[in-house]
Amino acid sequence: MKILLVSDIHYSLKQFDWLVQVAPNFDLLVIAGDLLDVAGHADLDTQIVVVSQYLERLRGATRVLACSGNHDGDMKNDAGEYVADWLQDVREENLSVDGDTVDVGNLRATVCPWWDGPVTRENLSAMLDEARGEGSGRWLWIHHAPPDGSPVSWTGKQFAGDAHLLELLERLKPFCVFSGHIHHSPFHDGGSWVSRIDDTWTFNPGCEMGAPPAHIVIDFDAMEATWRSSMGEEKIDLAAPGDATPRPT
Amino acid sequence: MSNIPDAIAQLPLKTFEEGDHVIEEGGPPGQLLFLESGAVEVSKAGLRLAKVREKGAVFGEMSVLLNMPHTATVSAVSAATFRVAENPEDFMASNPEVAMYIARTLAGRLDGLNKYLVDVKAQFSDFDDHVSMVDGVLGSLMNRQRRDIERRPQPGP
Ligand SMILES: [Zn+2]
Repeated sequence: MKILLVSDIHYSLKQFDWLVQVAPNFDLLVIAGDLLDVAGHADLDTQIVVVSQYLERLRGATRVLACSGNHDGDMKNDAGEYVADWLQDVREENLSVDGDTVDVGNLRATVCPWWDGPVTRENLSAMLDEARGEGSGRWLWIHHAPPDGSPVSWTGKQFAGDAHLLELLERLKPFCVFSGHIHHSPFHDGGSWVSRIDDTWTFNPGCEMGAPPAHIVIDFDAMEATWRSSMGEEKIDLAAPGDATPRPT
Repeated sequence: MSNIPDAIAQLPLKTFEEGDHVIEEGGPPGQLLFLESGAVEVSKAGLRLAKVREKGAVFGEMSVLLNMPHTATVSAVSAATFRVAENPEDFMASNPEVAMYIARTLAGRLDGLNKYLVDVKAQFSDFDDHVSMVDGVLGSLMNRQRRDIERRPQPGP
């Protein structure tokens, strides 16, 4: 199964166009949050219309999983926390969003919402506990913020990931987590697009302007992952023992 | 939508069941409807364009104001109730705050459209085709008095 992972598209129309073009080549497309751009020219209301139509196209080409990021909230819940209500509206066959757990091949994927406050965060914990299931398949989380303390959350100066996610991850031990959020982690010394916390693989493709977006192609059958960006291409052997490091190809 | 004029709440209520067509694409202008509760779907030629559930959302206004057939179908996706003005022009004339409310809705829509297109042009600024002209054309369209130029039927090809 070939997976394409992108994140932080931030309403880049060219990047969405590129996704539409390449989506048929993959079994699964994961968009790990920040589909919208709160600082963008077009109103968020308009951006939602446009992005919803892209998602509709993408799900026609392949199976799509999309979680919300900090840019994607369009409504507040009763506790005053931002949630991506619009994503709930685009949920369809072949398109899973915040709150969904689906089995795809030998993967069990859980799509996590961006948590803006304690209520959403506690819901997320409860949701993951429930989604844990029998655990025969490999468990994949899609979660916009990367785990704290990992190279995939390195800003160049500090780790700026999610400490709560790190706790969840250490407790529930998923097979891997797909994130984004820290745009430049893969481009900084000390940062990376792939790392491992105990036995959990963590990925963050990073964010660049223009098409194609920085992206990761993951093949868990062959146990390899490839990152492509303006920096070129790097590969990692996920089956290699010990502290695997990515290498340029 | 905020600041819904009180006059709208005085209009009679009409209820639609799930699946009912509230407005039919191509149908003649007539009523002006304001969503009170429930949700509707707007579609055109069978293609879903939008889902609307905001209280006070207005339907049929383009058709009333421009005296043209409805450009889209509105159907209830759940039981939905509307405040209905059977004589929209009279209703607006006697309730200027409603006319203002609709004008504001339309201005907001135009502003959103404008920003969308300016952004498309910015994101595709390396394109040398019509896309590169979008903001210029838009600037003209947004800042002039619209002329209604008659479409004269042509005798030949
Ligand atoms: Zn971002």
